[in-house]
Amino acid sequence: MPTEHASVVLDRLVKVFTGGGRDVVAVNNVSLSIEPGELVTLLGPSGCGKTTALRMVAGFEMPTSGRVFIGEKDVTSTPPNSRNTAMVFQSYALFPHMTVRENIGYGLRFRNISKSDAGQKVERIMELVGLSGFGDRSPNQLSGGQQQRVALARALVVEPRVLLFDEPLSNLDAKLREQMRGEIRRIQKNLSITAVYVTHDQNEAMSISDRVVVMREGQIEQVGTPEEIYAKPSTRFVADFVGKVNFVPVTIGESRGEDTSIELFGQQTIVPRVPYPAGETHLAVVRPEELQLVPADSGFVHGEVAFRTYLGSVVEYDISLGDGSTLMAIEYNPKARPPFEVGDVAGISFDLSKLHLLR
Amino acid sequence: MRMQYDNPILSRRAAAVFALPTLVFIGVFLAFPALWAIYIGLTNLRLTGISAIQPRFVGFANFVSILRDSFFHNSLRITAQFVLGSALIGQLLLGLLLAVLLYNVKGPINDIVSSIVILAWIIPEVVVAYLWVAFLDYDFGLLNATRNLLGMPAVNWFFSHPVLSIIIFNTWRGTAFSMLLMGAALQTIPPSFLETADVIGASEWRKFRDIMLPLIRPHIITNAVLITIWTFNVFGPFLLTGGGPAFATDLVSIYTYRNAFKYFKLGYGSAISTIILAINLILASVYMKLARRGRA
Ligand SMILES: Nc1ncnc2c1ncn2[C@@H]1O[C@H](COP(=O)(O)OP(=O)(O)O)[C@@H](O)[C@H]1O
Ligand SMILES: [Mg+2]
Repeated sequence: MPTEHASVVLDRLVKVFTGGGRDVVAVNNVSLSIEPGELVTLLGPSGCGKTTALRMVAGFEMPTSGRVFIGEKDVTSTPPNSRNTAMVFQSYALFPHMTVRENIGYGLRFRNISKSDAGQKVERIMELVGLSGFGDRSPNQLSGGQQQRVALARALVVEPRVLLFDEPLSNLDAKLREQMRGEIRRIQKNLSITAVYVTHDQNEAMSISDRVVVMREGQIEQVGTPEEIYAKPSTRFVADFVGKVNFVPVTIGESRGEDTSIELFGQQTIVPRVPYPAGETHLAVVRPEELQLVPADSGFVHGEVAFRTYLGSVVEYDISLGDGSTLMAIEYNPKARPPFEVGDVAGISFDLSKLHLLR
Repeated sequence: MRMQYDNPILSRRAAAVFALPTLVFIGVFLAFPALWAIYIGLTNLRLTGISAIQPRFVGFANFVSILRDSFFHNSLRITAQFVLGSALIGQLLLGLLLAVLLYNVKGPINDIVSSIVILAWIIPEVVVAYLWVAFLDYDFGLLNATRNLLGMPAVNWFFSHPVLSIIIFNTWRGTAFSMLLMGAALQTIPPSFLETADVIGASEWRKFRDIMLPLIRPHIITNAVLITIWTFNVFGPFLLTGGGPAFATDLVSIYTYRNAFKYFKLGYGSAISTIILAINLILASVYMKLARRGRA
């Protein structure tokens, strides 16, 4: 399907809502550049301005300041129906008085194509999203997952230059959600459509995105690939929002050559050189799966197992250290070793050469 | 679909006991007067004279003479124009138009327009009628005074455009109801429907035609039923024109009033009411058919 891929650029976007006697800064100076064919996710807690940012791309909200570009063209004051985008809502927003086929074909009424071409396009899209044979049904005769497929098909069929998603899977149950996000990813890659995807679910963001934009209180906290966001979070907020994490205070010592001496858990050690001066304290981001539980007499530190959660594929431990702090550890493949019980003392070892320090 | 209750909370008899007071009320205050009116229509009851004391059963004589009465034909024709002009074209269309326009306009303009329209609705009818007379009167009316100032000849509006005058009066008076009802109906449409249509290219007109209109259709029909029946029976224009000049605004309500209370022919008047009731029922059922066809 020939889709004209478009870049999307947000240039210092600001949106202030006034009313009720007080201003809400929903989006605060957001700049972002999205490549043609890229799927970028806006990720963040509820109320951080994701939807508002997306609605400014669609044209539903006029930015208080800043510009929006689609395909190099400044569309800041272009009305929504001339921006050539399409949107998929959490609520599906299927027209109840139209059949599935009419819903999907609706946008084609405003394109210059013949009825028979339109009909063929609709059939092809229905096949692509797995809805063949459902064309004559009414939307309320479909399951939630099927309804979301109709919404997706309706957005795809007009070959938008940008596809916008606002929490499209949040109404589905966990299993369906995983299946659908795989399909959205597959279809988006196949058609190489530029897409902006809003979600508060970090798993969804990680699994579907080329790049993730973590937002907080209207501002961008970090932009990066899912790997970068997870392994090298630039702030404590990002590290905490994306997955489980231990923050370990690290005191920086002297740097010599390729090495820096540091102190953590009250012990001196040497790590690959870090760019911080001696005497400063920084937080190290240590993911639970980086920690290995070993017999008490080995390991870098040791502590007592305070809590243990068996989840089948993994076992989660909370380990109390002598200084009153707690470390979270996750062990994959629990069968490999006899498990530690609550009250056991366990050693903890980890790869200090991969330590990621926050600024 | 009929619901099936395997274990009804109340037995049929207990339910009947609870329903009884309501049924009695409806019987005493609604059904009985209606039936009484139908019965009176079959007599020659008058307000004065012999047949005030001893009304005689006259069968369908009243109905026959009403249906032959050219004044009745005249009043039906005028009422049809009045309903079409002030209820359907005036209140319904204008109300819908205002509701749609206000839907897209937020802020002070919205507040001002809806306040004015609603004001027209809540002012007592007698006051409104007086205001319109003050506006349109041949000798003292504001409109003619203005025309005089501009060097235009005065027009006797009630004389030269009698039906139009009462149509405008009733439209002005009743549009608020339709506007409010249609506005409430529009609020039931999730904004995401319109936004979805918007981004995939629909114009304002197409959003109205393809999304809004079909979704509020049942409300439009309900509204049409209500205001048609109200307008059919409305008496307010009498305050403006007294049914004249020369029966030019003699609505069926005024015709009924004349016969029953000016000519004191109560039996005859009741028969007219019965005919009007039948016409209203027929109109309502036609609308209901339309509503059902829309859903199928
Ligand atoms: N139309 C609006 N009027 C006033 N405030 C709004 C409006 N839309 C959003 N907001 C506020 O802007 C902030 C960001 O909202 P939103 O973009 O919906 O967040 P998210 O999608 O990340 O949950 C919130 O504080 C919200 O209350
Ligand atoms: Mg949101």
